[in-house]
Amino acid sequence: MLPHEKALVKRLANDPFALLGVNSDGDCESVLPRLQEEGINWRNAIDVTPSGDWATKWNVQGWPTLYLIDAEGVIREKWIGSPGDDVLDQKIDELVAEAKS
Amino acid sequence: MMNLAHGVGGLSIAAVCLAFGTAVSQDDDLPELQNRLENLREEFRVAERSRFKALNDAETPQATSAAAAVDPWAPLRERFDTLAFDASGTEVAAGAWATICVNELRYGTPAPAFEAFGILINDHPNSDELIPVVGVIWSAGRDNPHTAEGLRQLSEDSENRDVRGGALFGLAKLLESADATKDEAFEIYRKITADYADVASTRGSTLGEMSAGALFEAEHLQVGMAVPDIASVDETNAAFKLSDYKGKVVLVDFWGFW
Repeated sequence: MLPHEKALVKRLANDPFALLGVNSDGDCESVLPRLQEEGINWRNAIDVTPSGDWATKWNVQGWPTLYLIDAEGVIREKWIGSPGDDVLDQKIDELVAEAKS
Repeated sequence: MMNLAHGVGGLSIAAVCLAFGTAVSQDDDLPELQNRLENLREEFRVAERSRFKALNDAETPQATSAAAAVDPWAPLRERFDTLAFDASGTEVAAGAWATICVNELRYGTPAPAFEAFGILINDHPNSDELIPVVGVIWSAGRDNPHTAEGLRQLSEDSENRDVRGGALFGLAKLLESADATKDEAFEIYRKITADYADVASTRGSTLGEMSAGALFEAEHLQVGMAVPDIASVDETNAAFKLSDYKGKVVLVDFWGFW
């Protein structure tokens, strides 16, 4: 996941797209250095544990769980486990094109 | 006097054992059996930890598959079986059957897991040892028609409230996985939020929170729905909302390094 996400963020840097992580590894103090080490430059909500507030409220039971939201704020895709780099690219590109049109 | 009474008690228990043809243990044996269970569980924990460590340390895909192929349960399976029979009818047997059930599901095959589940329902319906079992058995439920029945029975008849709540939650998870029974699942989630909200789940949150999550997902997190907002802090401790990103396509990724 991570190498592809880095490429994705770089490729769409000037497009109406954002990757938003919801991370369950720990608090800010412990997660920030790891994000920096790994070169993760996109924003992460700090959910602290797998049973953190947002994972619990959104009923997340498998990691990664991915939601793709369009520019209008509508859920367009939902995956438990990655659908694969190609599917991700294709769906995101479609919605970005839609947002720009 | 004490010795005599004890001797008589021992005899009558032995007689009961013979009558039922099972190895019901005398009270004197319980601490020893308890020790055996604890030692076996510790041995298994060590084997599992070393597997996780090998998985974490693996640096190539080949090393990862080699580490994943290691089965920490296989070498211990028979010894847990033997203990379950030696301790038959006691809380130690409940512990052994519960361990067998959970790990056959995780590393082995469904048949012995369901056999263990059946024994737990019949002989140990009130045991705390059932809590982790009802937390996982539903995931294999579609392979075995007796799972829903067993969970339903425990949710009604167990005298242990945590077991009743956990069984009800497992039943809801199982029913939710088929379209025809989804509505019944949501009814059960609502019942849990009313009657068993405070019961701890095996995940660290409560059954009430987990059930509320399942209902929230069904009502607000389906494709085509307006996404509910998230308000959180980011890695720099700055507050933000998902709705700040309106006008952009957003990929929300629930993830962890672990």
